[in-house]
Amino acid sequence: MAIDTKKISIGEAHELLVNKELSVRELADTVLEKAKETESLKGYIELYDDIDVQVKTAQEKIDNGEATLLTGIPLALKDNILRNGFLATAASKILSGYKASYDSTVVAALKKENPLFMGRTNMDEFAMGGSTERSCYGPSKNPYDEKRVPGGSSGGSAVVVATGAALASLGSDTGGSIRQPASFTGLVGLKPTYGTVSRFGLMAMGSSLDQIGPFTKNVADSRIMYNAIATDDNTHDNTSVPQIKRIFTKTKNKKIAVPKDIINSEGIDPEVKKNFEETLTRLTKGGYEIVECDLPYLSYSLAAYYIVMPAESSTNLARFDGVRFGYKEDGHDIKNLYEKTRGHGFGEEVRRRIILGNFVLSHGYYDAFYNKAEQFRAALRDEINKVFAYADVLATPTSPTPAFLIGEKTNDPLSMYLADIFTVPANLTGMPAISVPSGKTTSGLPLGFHMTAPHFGESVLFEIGTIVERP
Amino acid sequence: MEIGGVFVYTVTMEFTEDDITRLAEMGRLELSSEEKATYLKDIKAIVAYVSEISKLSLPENSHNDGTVNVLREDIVIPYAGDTHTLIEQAPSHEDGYVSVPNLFNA
Repeated sequence: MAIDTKKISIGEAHELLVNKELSVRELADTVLEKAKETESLKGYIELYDDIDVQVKTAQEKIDNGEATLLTGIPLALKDNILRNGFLATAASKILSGYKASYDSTVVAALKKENPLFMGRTNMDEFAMGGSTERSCYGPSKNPYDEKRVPGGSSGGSAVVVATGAALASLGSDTGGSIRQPASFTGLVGLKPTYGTVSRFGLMAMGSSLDQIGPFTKNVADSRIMYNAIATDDNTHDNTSVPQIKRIFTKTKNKKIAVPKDIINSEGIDPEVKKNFEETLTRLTKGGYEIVECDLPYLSYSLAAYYIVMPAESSTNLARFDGVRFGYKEDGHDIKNLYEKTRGHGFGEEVRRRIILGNFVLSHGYYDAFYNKAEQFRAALRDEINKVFAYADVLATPTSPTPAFLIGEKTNDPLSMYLADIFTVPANLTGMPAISVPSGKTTSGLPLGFHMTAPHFGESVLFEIGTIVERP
Repeated sequence: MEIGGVFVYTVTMEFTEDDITRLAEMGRLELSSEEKATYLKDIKAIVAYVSEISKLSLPENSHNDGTVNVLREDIVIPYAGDTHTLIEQAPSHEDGYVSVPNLFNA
């Protein structure tokens, strides 16, 4: 049976598989064909070489009546998520040849359902970027316009789902790296509540900010993927909140808060603003009331983020030293070995953030920068929680612009950073947030609607998201 | 700047290439002089932007954001995996040991 993997949902594919209208082999071949057709977009860095074995196992499960929702479903993994026995390089030269020696918790959880892990996807090196231009493998391209970026840092994971080369994928989100590429490629991208998805086996960037999350074509699939990965494996893994502590009381507010100052700021593309307002109107028709709110701290979020994240990543990247794994360059002594290995193994943006991180953590500046930013996070969280006393979600566009041109922002790092304005608050506070496709520009570029919910409030994101995604 | 016999690297807000050199050294990064010049320009601009935050006055009790560190028991858990596989990952290894340049006679 011929299917269009650019359109079919996980639920629909599952039905076809269990009703034997579609075999796992056929589904895999369709997806592989799409991957081949779209190779130039560089969604996948590499396909895994054990797909045939996985196909066989998944089909057996279906034939034995043991299939679950994700059995036989083609999935892709960002290059910073470990799958035992396979390469994972965070798109960095410094991890050339590194093979994972254990499964990340998310992969172990998914494995129980016997999906098809198709391959590892392209990303900005060590998740540092918003365009997937800074990969040692070269840039990924937006399927809607190949001269444009697919967003980042999880651009490859977005590309493979948008092109039907996978039915869902996992990315990681530290400052918007799932949600922004989702908005640039017409997908649903979810950053779960901090602590609901294990970070064990995710190469750490900003440990207090990172979350793994899914890319899917629709909200229903996002929920399926979220449920599959939001386990609480605490046996060897201290990065997940126990299920019993994941408390969320849904209110009947039916109100959507919009931070008025930010929405009216200059850098926002007029088509983005128009689409955002149209989406709000559709939500009003869906029974929601739009309320403007004043969040004076919100506009400082970016500054706080670009202090905390480089600080944490410079610390996390200290382990890459050419000694225990990856790329090594000899030096005249141990210190020089480190300097050469890291100086040449890390790309430009990575080194920039390490330098920045060292600065904000250095003596004499630690208090004014890092400490202050950490205090700010608590204050921001309190400020947003006050809004959640009367509103269900905080809404903004996902990105101030649609997908920009490849090369447009590479010479000005700060302009790239400023694009994260709507997404970073959710990482700073640990709150869950989602980007849902909300329409397109007149030239056909996708746009995304962004919502942040209270901690553990993913269900609200899914509920309202279902209305947003309706045509 | 020296504190108790230990040199502490400090950087001034009037960033110079020397500051970049010291910060890169902290991060064990070898940089070319072109790279130093580029980073000097970038870091100045970024720090100027993020410095906004130091001007904010924040509420007194802002330190507690509700998160707690989760620690495991301080007990030895024998490694269940294959150390051979781990050692094989090292760029230089010999007889089951990771090898490094001599640390003491540098």
